[in-house]
Amino acid sequence: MLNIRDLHVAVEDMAILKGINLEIKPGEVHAIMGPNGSGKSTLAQVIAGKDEYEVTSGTITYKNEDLLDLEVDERARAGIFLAFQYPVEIPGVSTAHFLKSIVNAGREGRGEDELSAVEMLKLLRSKTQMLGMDQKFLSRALNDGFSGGEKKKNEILQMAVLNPKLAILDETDSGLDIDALKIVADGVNAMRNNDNAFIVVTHYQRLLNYIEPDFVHVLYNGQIVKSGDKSLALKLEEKGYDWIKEEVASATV
Amino acid sequence: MHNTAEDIKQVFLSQIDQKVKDVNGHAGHVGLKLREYARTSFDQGSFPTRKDEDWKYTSVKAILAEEYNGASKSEFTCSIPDQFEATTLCFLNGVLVTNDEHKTKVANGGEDNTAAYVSSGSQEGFFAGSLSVAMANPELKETLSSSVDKICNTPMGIFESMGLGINEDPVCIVIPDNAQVSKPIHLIYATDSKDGATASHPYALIIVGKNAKAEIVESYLPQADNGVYYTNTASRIFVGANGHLDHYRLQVEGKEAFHTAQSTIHQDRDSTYGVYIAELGGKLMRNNIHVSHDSENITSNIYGLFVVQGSQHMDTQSFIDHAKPHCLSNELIKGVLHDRGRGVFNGKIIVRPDAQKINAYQHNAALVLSPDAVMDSKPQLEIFADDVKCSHGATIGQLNPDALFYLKTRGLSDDAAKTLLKNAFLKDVIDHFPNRDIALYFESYLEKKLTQISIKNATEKAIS
Repeated sequence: MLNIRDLHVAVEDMAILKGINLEIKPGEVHAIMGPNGSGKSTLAQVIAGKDEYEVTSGTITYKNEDLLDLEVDERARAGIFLAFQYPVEIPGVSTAHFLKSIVNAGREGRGEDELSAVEMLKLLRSKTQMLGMDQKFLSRALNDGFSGGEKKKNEILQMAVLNPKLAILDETDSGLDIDALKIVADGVNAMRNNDNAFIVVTHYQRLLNYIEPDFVHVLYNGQIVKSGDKSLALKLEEKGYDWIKEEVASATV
Repeated sequence: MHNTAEDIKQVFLSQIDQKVKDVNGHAGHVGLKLREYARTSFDQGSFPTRKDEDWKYTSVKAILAEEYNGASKSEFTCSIPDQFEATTLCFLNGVLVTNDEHKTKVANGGEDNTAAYVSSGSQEGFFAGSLSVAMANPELKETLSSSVDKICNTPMGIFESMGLGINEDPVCIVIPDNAQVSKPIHLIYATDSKDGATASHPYALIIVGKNAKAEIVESYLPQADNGVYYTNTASRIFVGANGHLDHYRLQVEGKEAFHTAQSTIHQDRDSTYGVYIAELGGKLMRNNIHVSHDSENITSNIYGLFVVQGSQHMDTQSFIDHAKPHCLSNELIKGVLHDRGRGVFNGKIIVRPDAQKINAYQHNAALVLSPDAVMDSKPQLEIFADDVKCSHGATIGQLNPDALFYLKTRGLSDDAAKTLLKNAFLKDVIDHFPNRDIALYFESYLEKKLTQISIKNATEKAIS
């Protein structure tokens, strides 16, 4: 589904990603962990298409297409979704209106008709219920004055209504209490199937108790320095990142 | 052919003289006093140039260069909005016309079926019709005479005096003391200039009595196939003690239209006046709002938005005269500018020495979305009292790139995302409209304009 080959990315001439290789197949969940500043969020944003990041070399193919050739919105309509670490507040746009717009934009992209008002209402109602959210949520302005937890839930709600093929969760767990974390994880688990894939970017192993990854990658200094199964996450939780940093240092000596 | 400003003035003056002569036949006509005052004011005044401080950013040359000879006799074809129920008066080329299909259900005032009148005895009672009909009504005579006296005792600008002088018969709305008018009164102005450039001068006299409450909507709508035309509108508004008027103004004139507007509001004690504005149409628009506080505990609200594209020019000038203590004024003007569009906001607030304990808030914000678009914002506060709260702010910016990226990652195209953000920016103004249904009516026109701009941008991108 997604194939990243020797990806180098820079921001204002400073190299951030220095040769990422990653392959993601349908049905898989990949966790990306790593210390602060290792490039996790950059990787997430580059896949989504943020133009401040300059891809200096390497390729990303998505469903056998050159992903880097697609505009941000084209990527989204092709099934890529990024749950933001810091969702943007947009006063003046109601959440319901926004959700309708994005659902219909996606349908238009696939050559489908817009949803009728009744179908739309049904969709929004079922997804808010699934995430244990109050309907009042929908009439509030998008993320405006939302608590940290509400913002993250709203990201998952958007993911649920769009039903993407590849969802990237950028530190969706940070700032969540345990109840909200369960709700978010339940939402993701309910969506998991053999056709879609998830990239879960996180600092903490905690989330991975609820969303079980097939692969865990450690990103350090712009490279994936270690990959393994979920036991790697447990080991990181227990021992921290220092042993990995030492491994990398001794390997380069 | 190049006419001098003086030549042009003489053309308009002769039109006023003709009207004065016409009215003179009716002895004792209050209208004559108004028209004569208008004539004197016009004769003594002169058209502004950019050397005048208040007209620094807006030139009226283009308006005056045109010859307005067209006199089309076609029908009023604008559609009446269905978002809200209203008592509707339709005007074609500045003249009140009856449109049977859209005729309001209120009882009419005698022979002239263009007037909507319900006896002032009832709770719902009000008059809405032409000034000549109103003056023939003994119940309204006293109210009208005193308002006319007030008008003739205050200075009148060049455009207002021109309009009042030339206007066939001003529209008059009287809300008697204690009346609570439940349905908005909607004045729809349409211009037909198929047969050549026309000028029309709608003039309104609006009197809201003591403890009375009403909503008035002015809509300037385009009729199909319009070429160059000029609308010069003016209104004098009196809000009595403890009275409340919400005044809406929707301006979507045709592409080639010039539009000048002047409203002068006199508020009595404990009264509330709010004006809610959307400027969307026209080629050149200038709106002057002058609010004067004649007594204490007055509230004035000015909430306006504008959108310019192409080479549209929109100039909003407000002047709030805080002359008395314990009053409040709120002002918020927001604009979105595209292409080579130009926006001007000049917000003058004077707090006179007696006006202690007043609050005056003013904010102007603009999104300038093209390198060739220009916004001039000029807050102008002159404070002569020492125990007051005044604040003002002006911001000019672009769309937030983070918000734009966020929306696009959800699958919205660049244009759709921008339109959404512009709407959100302006919605802040519409959210202050007290009447939700009228707000929806305004929003429908705003959305239409923003969508047109978005389609235009998308097409241009596709071509290039």
